[in-house]
Parts: sequence; C-alpha cells; structure tokens
Amino acid sequence: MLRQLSFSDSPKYKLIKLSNVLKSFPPAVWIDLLLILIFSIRINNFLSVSNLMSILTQLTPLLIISCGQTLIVLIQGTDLSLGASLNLISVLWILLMKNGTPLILAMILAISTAVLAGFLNGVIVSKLKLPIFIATLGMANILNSIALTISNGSSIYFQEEIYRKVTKGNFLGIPFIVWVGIACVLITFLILEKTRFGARVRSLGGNPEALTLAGFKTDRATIEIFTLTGLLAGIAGIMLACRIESGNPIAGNGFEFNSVAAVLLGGTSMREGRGGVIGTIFGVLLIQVLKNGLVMANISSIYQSAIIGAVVLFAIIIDAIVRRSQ
Amino acid sequence: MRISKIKESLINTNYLFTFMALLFVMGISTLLSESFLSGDNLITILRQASVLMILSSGLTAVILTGGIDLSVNNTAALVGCIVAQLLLSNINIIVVIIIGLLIGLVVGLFNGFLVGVLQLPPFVATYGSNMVVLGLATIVMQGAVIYDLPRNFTPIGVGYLGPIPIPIIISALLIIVIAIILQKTTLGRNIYMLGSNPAAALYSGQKTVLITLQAYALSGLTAALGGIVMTARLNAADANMGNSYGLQIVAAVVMGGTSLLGGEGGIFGTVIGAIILTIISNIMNLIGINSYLQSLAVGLVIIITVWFDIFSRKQREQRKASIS
Repeated sequence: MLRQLSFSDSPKYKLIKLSNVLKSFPPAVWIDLLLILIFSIRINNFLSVSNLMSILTQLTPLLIISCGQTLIVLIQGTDLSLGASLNLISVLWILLMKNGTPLILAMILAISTAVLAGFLNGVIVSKLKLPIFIATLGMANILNSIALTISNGSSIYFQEEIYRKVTKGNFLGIPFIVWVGIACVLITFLILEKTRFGARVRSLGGNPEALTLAGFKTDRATIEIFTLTGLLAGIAGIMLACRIESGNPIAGNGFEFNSVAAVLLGGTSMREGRGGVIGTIFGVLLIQVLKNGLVMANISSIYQSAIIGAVVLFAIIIDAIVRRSQ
Repeated sequence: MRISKIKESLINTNYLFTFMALLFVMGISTLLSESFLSGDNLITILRQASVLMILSSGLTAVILTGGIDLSVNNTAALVGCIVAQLLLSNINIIVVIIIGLLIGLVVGLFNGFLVGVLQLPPFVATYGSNMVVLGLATIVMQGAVIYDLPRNFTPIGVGYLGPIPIPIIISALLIIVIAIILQKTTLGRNIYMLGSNPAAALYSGQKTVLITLQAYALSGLTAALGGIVMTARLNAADANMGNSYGLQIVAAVVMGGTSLLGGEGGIFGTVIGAIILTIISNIMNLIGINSYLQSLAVGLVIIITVWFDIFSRKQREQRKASIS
C-alpha cells in the first residue's frame, strides 16, 4: 500500500518554509552578519572581547533611544526631539551635580525633565492634533535651545566617580551601562508584546478610529507612549553623559535620525504595525558595528558618513524590494 | 450679508492664518525695536530670507504631493561645495552653475526614484539620501573649508541690481516660476491631485510615478540653486553649511499653511513662512537676545502656527459639513 505523502513532509515544502522564515528576518540581521564577517577577517582585534564590549558600551545610548523610537514608529510617527532630549538631560544632570545637588536627586530631576518633554509631546499630538513630525520638531528646537542656554554652548566637565562605575564597572563581565540597555530593551519588549496596552499600540498605528469606537482611549495611550519614550530618552541621556564623562549640549545631535534608521533597519514598519524592539537591536548593532569597523580599519572619518549613509539606504531599499516580492 | 460673505471668503483663504501670524510677529517686532520697520532692515530681512525661500520653494511641491524631502539642506551644501571646488580650478562660472544645478537635479531624481518607483516612505528615503549627500559633501571638501571665491561669483549672493539685492531678485523670479507651475500647468494640478487623493490620481490614469519624479526633481533643482546662492552669500564653502537650515526649511513650508498630508497649500504661504522665521531671528538679534534662545522661539512659533492652522481647518470643515 502506498503511503500517502503529505505535502508538508516534502523537502520542497520545508525549503519554502525555511526561506519564508529567513525572509521574515529584517535586512539588518543579514547585513550585521555580513559586516561582522568582513570586519573579523580584515581587522585583527575586531572580535576581541574588549572590542566587542566597547561596541556594546558605545551603542547603549542609541539602543535605549531606539526602544522608544520603535514605539513611536509603530504609531506611524518619528520622534525628532529625542536627540535634543539627550543633549538637555546630559547637560542638566552634570550642571545640577556641579551646583551641589546630590547625584541621585540630580539624576531624578534630569530624567523627570525628559519625561515631562515626552508627556508634552503626547499632549500636543493627541489633544492639539499636531502631526507627530511637527510637534516633536518644535519640541526639539525648544529642548536644544534650553540645553545650549544653560550650558552656554560648551561642554560641562565635572569629576564624578559614577561615570567609570557605569561604563567600566561590571556584573558577570558585562559593563553596567550594557545591563541598563538590556533592562530598557526587556521592559519595552514586555510592554509591547505581553500587555494588552502593547497590542493596542500596534493597532493604534493601523486604525485609530476603530479603536476609539471600541472604547479605547487613544489620546491617553498616545500620551503614555510619548511619556515612556521620554523616560527612555532620559535614561539614555544619563548613560551618554557617563560615557563621554561630561555634559555636552550637542552630543545627542543625530541620535533622533539614527534611531529612526535603526528602527526601520530592524524591520519595524511605518505602515502595518509590524516589527518590534528585537529587530531594533539589530538595526542599532548595524550602525555601531559599521562605525566601529570603519574606525578600526583606519578609514578616514571623511568617508565614514557617506559609507554609513549608503549602507543604511541600501538596507532600506533591499527591505522594500523583499517586502514587495512577498 | 455682504460682510458675512467677505468673512466667509477670508476664512476660506488658506493663507489667512499665515498672514495673521506674519502681522502678529511684525507687530511684536515693531514694539520691541524701533529700527525693525526701517527700510534697510526690511531689505536685510528679505535678503536673509531669500536662501530659505529658494530652498523651501521646491520642497513645497514635494509636500503638496504628500511627501517630504529631508535632503534639501545637505543637497544645497553638496552643490555649494562642488561649485566652490570647480570655481577654484578656474572653470567658467556659467558651466559651474549648470553643473551645480544638474547635480541637484540628479539628487532630486534619485529621491523621486526611491519614493515613486521603489515606493519607500518619503521620510525614510530622503533621510537616507540626506546622509549620503552630506557624506559626499565631506568627501568633496576633504574636511577643509574654502574661503574667498572668485569676484565674479559672489555677487549672486551679495550683489545689488540697482537698489535691490540680487538674491531677492533670484528668489522672487523662482517663486513666480514655481507659482506658475503649481497653479497654471497640468503638472501643478496633478501635484495637488496626487496629494489630496492618491488613489483617485492613480485610477484616473495619472502617471503618479512621473508626477512624483518631477516634484522631487524640482525640489533637487531649487536645493541646488539655494546652495549656489548660499555659497556666494557666505563667500565660503563648508560641508556642514546646510546644518543651520536643517528643519527650518520644512518649518517654512508647514508654517505657510501647506498640509503635511498633501494637497493643500501653496508657494505663497511658504514665502510668508520663510519671512516669519527670518523675522524672528532678526528681531532677536536686534534686541540682543542670545542666539541660543532663538530656536526656542522658533520651536514655539512652529507649534502654535501649525496648531492654529489645523484648528481653523477643522472649523472650516465643520462649517462646510453644517451647510451641506
């Protein structure tokens, strides 16, 4: 008797299934692997533990910011005030400590400022109905202006033991700053994937009217998302200040755009509520591995910006083509 | 009856709130500084605003299609840098300007290709090309700054034709050309149509890809022209010279009442938007306010004007709904 061969057992089916799984990975995963492969062949110490740790330490502020940006991209926006928020928080924290505020209190005050900025973004977007792009652009101008004014436009240096503790001190061989990053990723992941709130955040991007009709308080959810993003920006600002051991009113410039790039490279879509923080990790990794590799390979900084831009653009184009073919 | 009709037509004017914002800003400025309303100062404001106007004029067309072009400021910087390098190697100025404009056109067409053909979200596509263009500008300059451009080039930015500064004439002519394109040509009508109802534009047989390409190409061209004027005005070229314009360009368009959703607004609003932004920095300079605080004012003004615009639009719609 012939055994009925079901289609799901056939090697062809398995191949299709495998290729579908592989296709569902965001482009950043492949480009990450490719870059790491190239760099580890071409550069001697690239895969050394100390270099990997320095990559992780450097990417943490961007990673934390990008977690928040993922939420905003899921509701079809881009928070352009995050870089400015980093600027203000790092300057404010150091300045407060310099003026004699206790470290922890200064930290709480600085982070609260970022939370307030996020909350205001949420209110402006949900209550005044401004496009997210414009609301956060305006907020970026305001925060940058405050950062530049209170710092008088220059870096503020203040000796403090905590910088080294955060960036060099470690637990299980991994620097504290990376643990903070991991905690932020985990919390955002859990909120997004395991709570009903997270599920609604995804559908908020797709069809806000239906949610309103179903009795979901979209305004409140929007404010909560922006406030959470503000909180993450505040934490990232403190981490950035620890890493550069000063408060710098322009050190955060560009983070807002890099975080958008990281989120999109990580496969989070502006249209379908698809994606999440796991993909974003790969997006952030791509940007940082590229930066680190170019520096290690002694490529002049003159060429770095063009190369990074081209790779990011290339990845986004590939993603678009792959998605359309599906 | 008649007054209500006038009121109706005023409220239906897209530019009403932009005009009111302009009058408001001018009123406050006059109160703050006596020298604000002097003829010299007004000419200075227009001259300062001219680069911003040129840069944001093509962007207006892109935003009207429902898109965005974030590469304008650095396209301008790239063109300025290439133009400066070519001028230093003693190439004919006309040839240099044509090459500069062509480069802008290429960047614009590339953006249009990404958005129109590959269907990338405009924000993402043009942000990506912005990074590449900035990188190219850095490579062109090799990290250096060029000063002292040829004497026959700088008048484009600082010269006068009679009493009127040449950059003002250039921007005025450009704005007239773009106004004609947007209001009187098929391309203009198609741009508005694509922005207000992309699906309808597609189904009515419009070549939406072609319209998108043309809009972004226009933005690339005006960015190039703005870059040339900017370089001549500074009498220097630097890869980062577009930074200070950054998102101001978008702000000028949006403050001028052009909706980011596309299909509504126009070039004259953008002109007023650019003038408002310039007045804000001018008056703050006149009364000696720290330049750092200027962007605070710009931020607040952007939020408030756009909110007014959205608010008034909603009222108009409600009025229309109640009539029908």
